[in-house]
Amino acid sequence: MTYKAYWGTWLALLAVTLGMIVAGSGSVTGGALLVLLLLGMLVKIGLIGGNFMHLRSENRVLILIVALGILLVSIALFAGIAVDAARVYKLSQP
Amino acid sequence: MEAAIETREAYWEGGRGPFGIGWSKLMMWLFIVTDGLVFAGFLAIYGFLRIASPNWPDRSHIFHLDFIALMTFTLITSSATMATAVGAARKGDRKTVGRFLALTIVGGAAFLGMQAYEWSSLIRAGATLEANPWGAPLFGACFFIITGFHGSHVLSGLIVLAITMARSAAGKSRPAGIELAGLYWHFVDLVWVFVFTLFYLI
Repeated sequence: MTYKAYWGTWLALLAVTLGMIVAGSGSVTGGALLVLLLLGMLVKIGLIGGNFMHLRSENRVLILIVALGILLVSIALFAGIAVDAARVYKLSQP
Repeated sequence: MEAAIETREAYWEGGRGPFGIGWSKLMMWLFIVTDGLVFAGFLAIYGFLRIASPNWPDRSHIFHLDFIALMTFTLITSSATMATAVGAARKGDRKTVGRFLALTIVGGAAFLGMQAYEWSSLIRAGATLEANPWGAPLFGACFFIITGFHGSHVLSGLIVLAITMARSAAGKSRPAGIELAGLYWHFVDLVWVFVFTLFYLI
């Protein structure tokens, strides 16, 4: 990658971060905010992993190991935990 | 058939380049995956506590988003300077490598300084691992443990970068070594994406 591409990635990261801050500081609320922030996170992960860490040009099996290893396990963890946490929350309500 | 089996064995039994990369880089990637899972575990615990606690503190009463945005800007910029240093190392431009590694270290140190300031503000306001004035007592434990764990990664990254810079200046560092340091530094930035979103924006 060229220096220009690295600094283009930096600009894109800043733009996405700014968008997330604007959304998170009250202009968007509820489920829409969650979806926006999750999308922003995914875009930033893609930019850092793909361009800065050069994962884009690595072997496909390695990309799968990293993506499945971190992303899928994290999603499974959160999905399982969120259901249980919501139950605990309901139980704690009078 | 035999040739296919031999090829497969050679692929899995090592040699010089599993997945087409060197061993040191593969080990760094495996470290990143395992360390990423540790962070995922911490953040999942945080998610559980936050959803399950009816009186979780409102982030807007605790954090100054402008200040956190500045911290994020600093870390993202240090990631870009690190990527530039790695790019320069691949081209054999030692002078640019040294300059951008130094900028990365400055960025990382500034981030750590800002984190120390944020911690001290919260501690002065009464936050500890067991209690805080804003709501659920476990908020303090989650905040200090997760941001502290991330901060310790930044600190160890700074040490690695300082050693890499000294070796590069002495002409002892190879591009692959600078790339490994870069992978670790970008990982630290990657983790901050999650910490920043889950703690300060949601």
